[in-house]
Amino acid sequence: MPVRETEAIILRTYPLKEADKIVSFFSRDAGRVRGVARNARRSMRRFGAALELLSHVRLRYSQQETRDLVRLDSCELLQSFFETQRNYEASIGFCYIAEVCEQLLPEGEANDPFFRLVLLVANQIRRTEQIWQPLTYFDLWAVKLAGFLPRLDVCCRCGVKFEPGEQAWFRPEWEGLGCEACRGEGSWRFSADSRAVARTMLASTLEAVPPEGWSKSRAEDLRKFLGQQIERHIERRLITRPQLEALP
Amino acid sequence: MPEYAKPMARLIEELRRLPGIGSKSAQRIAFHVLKAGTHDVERLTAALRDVKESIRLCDLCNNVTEVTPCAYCADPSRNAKLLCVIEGPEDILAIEKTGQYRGYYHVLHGALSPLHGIGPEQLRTANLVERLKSGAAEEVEVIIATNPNVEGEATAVYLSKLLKPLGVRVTRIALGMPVGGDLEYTDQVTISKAMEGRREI
Ligand SMILES: [Zn+2]
Ligand SMILES: [Zn+2]
Repeated sequence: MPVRETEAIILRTYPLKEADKIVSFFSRDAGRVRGVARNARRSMRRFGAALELLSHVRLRYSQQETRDLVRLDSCELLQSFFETQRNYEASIGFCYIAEVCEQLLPEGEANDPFFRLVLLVANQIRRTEQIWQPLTYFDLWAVKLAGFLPRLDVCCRCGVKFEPGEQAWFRPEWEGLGCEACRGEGSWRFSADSRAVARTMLASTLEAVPPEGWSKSRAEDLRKFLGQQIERHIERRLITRPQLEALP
Repeated sequence: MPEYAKPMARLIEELRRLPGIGSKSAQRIAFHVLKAGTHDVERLTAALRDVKESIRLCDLCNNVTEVTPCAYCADPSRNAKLLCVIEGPEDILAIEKTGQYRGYYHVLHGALSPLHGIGPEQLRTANLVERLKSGAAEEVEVIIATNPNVEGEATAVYLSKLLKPLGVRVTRIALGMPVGGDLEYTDQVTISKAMEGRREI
């Protein structure tokens, strides 16, 4: 039974039988993995607060050749986001990140940029105590790193290039943005400001777009568009997305 | 799964939906039911039906009960100045076992849990607010005893924001070191929570 040691981010836990937990985690070295934490429900001794959502941990686990689930041997807490998630808005934001990771990341494939993205965004939410700027950055880079971010400067229907300052349109079934002429009935507006935000966020660091003064309405169309792209890709609806949208 | 006759497959499928029952246990129980006498099976189905038909939620506290108000709410010897909020009815038994608490209860039937789609609307708080508004709220201490995990904490913070405007005193059960624990092997969140919750001795 080979033992592995890796940095990881806890994505989700489920109760298993009376005393155990199934833990879904995103490991730096081996991507998304699921394992069993024996006795984690009954005894706090071995796992404590380390298995809470989005905890950054150092894990030791053993692989059993015949089973899909690994066995967690120990879990050292490197950084916890427990305090941040006492805020309900932040807790929905964290759940959203965890859900997107679970749905988007293939099992067993390391993805270091994505790993760093999750930590960066979680820390930004902790530091700024607000979610909209960090989540916009997360959506954008998650879609880009997963490889299905369309061009945001041309119409995906007719190929015409958008003028600077020109608004665009989107709808769930499209793989990109559409122009005024192609939009048809019932599509959503995509503002020129949001295209500018996306451009800046893709070209530089998270800090390049200052988090101050971000309300929910800023780049809301960009997040909705990216959320639709994610849902189209995973072929299901995200549970946490409507809860984010319902926040005041 | 092997091919079973339709009624058997259906029973196994239903059993598998119960918490803590996997495919193997479901098959074992199904075969047990198949072998059991008609009388035994009737007793089981009657018990299942009975629990659904006769058990309801207490109008005051949401505890599961046969009559409303439930035995706890109907007990006048309890301390009316203490109200303990918990996630599930089973938590009442855990607290009652201590023999230390003599106040009343309120059961939320869950905690805020975005990954399960449980938001503030799904928590049973309307009758809690009503109960506090109808009494002398400023004399009441509401003790929030939701679980010490992220969902329980977010729920506690949410409830304190909801209830404090009513004039009640809102407290949170202490989070921190488990009795019999060992400081050296305890993670930093648990220790810092224990430090926050320290008290003079
Ligand atoms: Zn076009
Ligand atoms: Zn009651």
